[in-house]
Amino acid sequence: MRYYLRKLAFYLVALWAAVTLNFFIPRMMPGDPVDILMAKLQQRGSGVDPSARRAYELLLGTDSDEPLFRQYLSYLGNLVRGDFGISVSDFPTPVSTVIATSLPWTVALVGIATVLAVLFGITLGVFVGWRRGTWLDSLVPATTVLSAVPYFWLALILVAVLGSALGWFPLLGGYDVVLTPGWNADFLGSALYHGVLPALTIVVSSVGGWLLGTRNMMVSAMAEDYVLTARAKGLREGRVMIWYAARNAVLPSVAGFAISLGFVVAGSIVTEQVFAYPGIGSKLLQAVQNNDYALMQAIFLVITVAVLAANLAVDLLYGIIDPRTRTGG
Amino acid sequence: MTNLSPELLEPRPSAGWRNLAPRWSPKLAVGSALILTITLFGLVGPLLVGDPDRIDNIGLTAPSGGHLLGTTQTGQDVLAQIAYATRGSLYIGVLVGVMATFLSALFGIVGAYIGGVVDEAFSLFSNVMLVIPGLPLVIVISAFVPPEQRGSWTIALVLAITGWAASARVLRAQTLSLRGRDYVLAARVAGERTWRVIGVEILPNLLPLLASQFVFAVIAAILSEAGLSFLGLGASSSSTLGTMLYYAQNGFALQRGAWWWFVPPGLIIALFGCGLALVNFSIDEIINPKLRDLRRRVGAVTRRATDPAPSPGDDAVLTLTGLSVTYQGERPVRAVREVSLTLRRGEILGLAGESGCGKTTLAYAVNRLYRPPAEVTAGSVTFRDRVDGDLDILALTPEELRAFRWSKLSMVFQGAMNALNPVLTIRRQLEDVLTTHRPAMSRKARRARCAELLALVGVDPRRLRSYPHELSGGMRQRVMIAMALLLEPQVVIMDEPTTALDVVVQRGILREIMRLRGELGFAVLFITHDLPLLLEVADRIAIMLDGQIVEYGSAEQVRDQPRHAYTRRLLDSFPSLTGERGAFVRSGGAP
Amino acid sequence: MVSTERGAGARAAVLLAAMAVVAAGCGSSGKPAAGDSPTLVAYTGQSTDYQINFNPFAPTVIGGTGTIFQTLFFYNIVRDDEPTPRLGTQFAWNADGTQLSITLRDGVSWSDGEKFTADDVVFTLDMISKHKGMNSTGYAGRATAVDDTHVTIAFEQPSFVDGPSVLGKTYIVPEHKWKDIADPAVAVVKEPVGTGPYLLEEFKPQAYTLKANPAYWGGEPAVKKIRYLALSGNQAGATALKAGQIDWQTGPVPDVKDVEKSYPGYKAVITPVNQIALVTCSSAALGCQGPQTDPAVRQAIYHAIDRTQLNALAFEGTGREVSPSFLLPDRDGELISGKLRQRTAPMQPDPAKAQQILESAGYAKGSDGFYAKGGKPLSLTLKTVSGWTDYITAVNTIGQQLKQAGIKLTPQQLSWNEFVDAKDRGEYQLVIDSLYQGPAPDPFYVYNYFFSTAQTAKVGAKPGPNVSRFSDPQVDQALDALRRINPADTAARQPYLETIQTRVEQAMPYIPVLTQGTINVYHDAKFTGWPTQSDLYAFPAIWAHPDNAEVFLRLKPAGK
Repeated sequence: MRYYLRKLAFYLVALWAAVTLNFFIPRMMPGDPVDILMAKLQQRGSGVDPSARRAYELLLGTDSDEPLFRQYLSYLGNLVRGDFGISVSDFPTPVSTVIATSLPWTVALVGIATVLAVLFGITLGVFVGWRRGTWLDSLVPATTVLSAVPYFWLALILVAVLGSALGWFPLLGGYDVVLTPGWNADFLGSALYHGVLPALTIVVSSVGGWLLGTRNMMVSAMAEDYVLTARAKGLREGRVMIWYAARNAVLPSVAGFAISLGFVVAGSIVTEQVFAYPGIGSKLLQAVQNNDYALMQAIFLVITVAVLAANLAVDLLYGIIDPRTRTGG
Repeated sequence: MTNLSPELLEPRPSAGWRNLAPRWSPKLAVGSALILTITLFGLVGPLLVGDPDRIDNIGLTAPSGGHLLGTTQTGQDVLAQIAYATRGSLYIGVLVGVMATFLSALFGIVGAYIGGVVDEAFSLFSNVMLVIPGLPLVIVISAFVPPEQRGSWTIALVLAITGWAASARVLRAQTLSLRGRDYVLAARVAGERTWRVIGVEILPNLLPLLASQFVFAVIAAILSEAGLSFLGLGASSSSTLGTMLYYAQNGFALQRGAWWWFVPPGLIIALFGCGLALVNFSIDEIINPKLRDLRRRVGAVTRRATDPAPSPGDDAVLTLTGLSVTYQGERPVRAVREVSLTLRRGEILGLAGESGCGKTTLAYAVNRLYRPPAEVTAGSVTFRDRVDGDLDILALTPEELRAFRWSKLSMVFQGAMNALNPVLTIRRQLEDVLTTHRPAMSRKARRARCAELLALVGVDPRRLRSYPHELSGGMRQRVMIAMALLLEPQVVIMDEPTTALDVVVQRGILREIMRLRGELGFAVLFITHDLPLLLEVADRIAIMLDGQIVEYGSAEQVRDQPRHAYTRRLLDSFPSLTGERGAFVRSGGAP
Repeated sequence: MVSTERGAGARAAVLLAAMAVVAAGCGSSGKPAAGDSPTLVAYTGQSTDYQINFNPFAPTVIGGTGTIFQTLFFYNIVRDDEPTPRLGTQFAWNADGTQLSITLRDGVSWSDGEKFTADDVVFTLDMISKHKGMNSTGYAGRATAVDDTHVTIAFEQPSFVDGPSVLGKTYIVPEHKWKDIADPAVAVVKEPVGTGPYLLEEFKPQAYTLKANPAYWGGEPAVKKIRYLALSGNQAGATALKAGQIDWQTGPVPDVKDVEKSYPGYKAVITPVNQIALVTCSSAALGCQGPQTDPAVRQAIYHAIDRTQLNALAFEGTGREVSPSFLLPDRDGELISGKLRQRTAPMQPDPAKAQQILESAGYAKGSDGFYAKGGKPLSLTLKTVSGWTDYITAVNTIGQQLKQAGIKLTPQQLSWNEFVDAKDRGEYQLVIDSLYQGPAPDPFYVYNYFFSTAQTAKVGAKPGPNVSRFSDPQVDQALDALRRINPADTAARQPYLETIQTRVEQAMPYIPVLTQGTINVYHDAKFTGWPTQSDLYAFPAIWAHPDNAEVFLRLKPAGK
């Protein structure tokens, strides 16, 4: 229980740090984003609603002499209510709606791709580590090439080869726009089909890291006494590999999930852009290109919260798969 | 016992500097070659190629003699552009690498060394920075900085600030472990200044790790910068591989089939990253020697030099004849040399010797647990089974060997802390022996058997549900013994079964072993460095020195008439024994 | 990422106005076809998700202009055609240009079944004059319904040149639906009711679909469904086009020279309409800063550009010659003044001329190869928009060309917003952009938009389209005079047009680069009846409206 409480406390601190960072970044930067946003709202023909200005000011800073602390409190209040103002690049949709429609796409894409990459990478890593000293070792440098390839570059090459030249997969978008999004087989099938290439990009680029990490841990675990015991016990190879070596080797990989997830999230932003995927990464870039500061800030916050939530989930999972965390420290 | 190979010994601090030199390997060679070539290309290339900006009337020409890598949409020479772009990317990469490594060293090493509140704060800060996703943060910050102010330094600084946390965590963990080492403690006690201790005692030992983290930061920075530039958020008016890709994409290079414009920049990044990663492997191998390459010959099981000798006498259960084990390598180490021993049914044969004399290696050779680079080079191991008669252990097929292990010969390892799998319950670790060797057994019967055995060794059967870390050291060793007896083996090899335990617990366990042997009638090969102990418990004793048996006889013989000088030395090095103590253990039963 | 053309097109749409008469060949050919008629997929360059709004007056309108809502007439800006009757059938000016009489089409119904009458036209025009935000064209008339099919509009000033915007660019909306909308300038219209050939079938942020209106007064069109896609920009558009997923796209696409080979089944038509120019912040008097405020520098740049090379490298040879008078040589050939120093800008650079201009203006070449005057180097920044692929290439190419001529040019890419903001505030030295045409094929509009004092403002204040801050009394006077002359009286207009041309060439606030060929790629194997070089019955661009509706009306599925 203590483990869980500590983890929970840590993520609360991290969340607070992210929220606070988000509060200060625009205030520390040069320029006056609120004025730019308001000018754009007027350009878009919106009456200058004082409440809109207020929402922006809380998000991005203001030149008024309201004490910083008061601004901060009101900012937190707006966050809790999910009030981030109006998106100027998707005018007149509220920022929260823009995020709500795009977030599921990214969560599904990055989620599925990460799970695949993790399963694939760990399985391969276990196997390569177990068979150390055989030709499988040459897989290790090969996958490092893949993980050193820029995501967008790989994505574009995949589009050019598998999409354009061979025509196996759709080039763009999240689903066939003829279909109506919803829980029907046609749409889900189309969404899956469209997700193959983006997911493949993420999997191919991130699988190497998992493979390498697991392989190294596997090698370390195989030198542990309990593996020797298991062999002495006359257990079958598969059982020793999975329940003794791998079961212990994956723990550090799981613990290192935070670092990996950061890379995947980063990569998926660029990948979404290449595939015109209707996710939150595309929206972030749209916001950046259109100086839609409110949307940008909110997306950063949402991504951070999502990453924190994923890490928390993994930490909780870690608590289940490593019994040592349950008692003691 | 973890140190199966002399190579794997942890580097001593005094040898730190020597160990910093990576071992030469194909990976290192290829990696360094890639890095050197690309770096050289970035440094010298721009001097050799023409003006990367010069345009031409005809654009997008395929590679030819005039333009080795073709031209861009505006007729600019791709090779020249790559040369300059490589330089630009390397510049940013190194800049970020230096800054990020500095930050991580500051927060990782200094924090961990000072300890206390500072460490807590630094560590919390690093962890928070670690879980906040970097690139979105970079994108947001870049978006707020106007293009005019977005120079290389700004981008590098932002990348460094968002990229140091992971390595700070690694450095902290390593520093914490170094901090507790004797020589560091000694330096601190001697009153050396903090910075001196860090600089002289800790830093050299962290160098491989720092180098590895630096390498990692450089790769990450080059990749991130490429991503940013590709999105149009990179340093303004800079020329990097990322901006090249941006322009290639802008000019529809892929759609026009101009692979020569789009592919090379990405490939350079990938190859450079690959080179750095390969070098990183070599650095990793310094940090973690276990990762070093094994020159293992696949399928090479063992070499048998002699035919199995017939067992001398009917009461022998395990016979070693002329057994030699060698660690193959540049300088082969003969760890066990022509050892011949006989274990009789039901007896305790003690094997004594100091650490590193080869006794553990010998024990592993008996049921072929040794791993490469160890190899049996001569001799035989014969097991006389009650039912099947003589078994030539070294000739068993892998499946026969697997079936043989534990059911006829089981082991109790030294340091039961590590011999039990920390993530499985005691029950599962006991039961998987039964599910493997007694597949016909019902689930209920298995449970009953496990509970019975635990009770036999004096552990509450409710402990079946526990994990190893929830048990005391003594209890764990008892569990190990219970496990070893699950299948009623004819021989149990006990390798320092009580070494890590305190004296009282030790006594209890030894008594237990003696009692169980009495009840179940298995033979024991008892390995220890503790000769006096052996004198109390063993029927016969063998003394091992440098891989050879130098003394072999009954316990009384060895005690009273040692033939080898080494035996005498061993005997003399211990306080004289009292008969009471021996009686105490041997009598068994009630305490 | 928005294509250059889209940027210009979108702005043009807001500001255009129209005029003139008649034409045959209406879209009455569509008869109800078999059920599985193919869907036409169009890509306008939309780079963000669609946000539903079919209010033709709102800045955030996403479509329906021409297809759902119609104008009274259709003006073809690429050919000197008579206006085509749409909701109107005839119009006439009185002699001094103060009264416009319009006859409306009888028997037209709104898509909800209500009858279309003169009251709807009067309501629409009154609404525009009532709401300042909607009146982007400066409409100042008073409309009166004579009977159900006749409307007259009275103006206080002679207003010949305002005709095309009223007749050809004002979309008529139903009074019964719109009279309760509080702020029609920005209101979101989700269920548009119009008179046009198409109805809104379905809206999704990634795409919306129009379906043929079976009750259309001209007969149900042959193309039954039109889908507009939102993609992530030019790159995505080019990829989708290559895969045959888009039937109509306008904008730079790779390999357009060999379109039939690169895109089997597709054809392209290239229409030179908009002039690419380096827009300079030209007037030091109005607050502009930088070397470009010196006309000599502007002239030198004009001569230093290698237009042939630029056309080949950045525009795949789709650009055409540009006239320093900013008339279109193809359309306005006979209007171009003989007094110009050069009828069209030279396609080859003239470094000697550039050098001579700079040196006689007091510039001297330094050791670094760049000119300087009074210790200040001749160094300029040229802004463009990231994602405008062809302009980015053009800017880099021009930078290299000017380097040869001793002028230092630093390209800078901005977001579209920053770009617009820099232009509006006058905080730039050079930007690359294109000049667009008015609502009718008449050069008056280009001059009025981009060269009149009325359309500019001091640096810091927001101007009209004249972001160059160019202000010249001679040009203003000539424009005033042109307003009072019936456009049909070409002889009376010519002297004024010539005065403007001469001044524009001398001062050169916009340095002409090329006439941009608007590249229109269409799926000829799937649909027939597209506008071609030989029959430019409408401006062939998917984002041009109501031109796109004219095209849809003429298209038929191939083989039917």
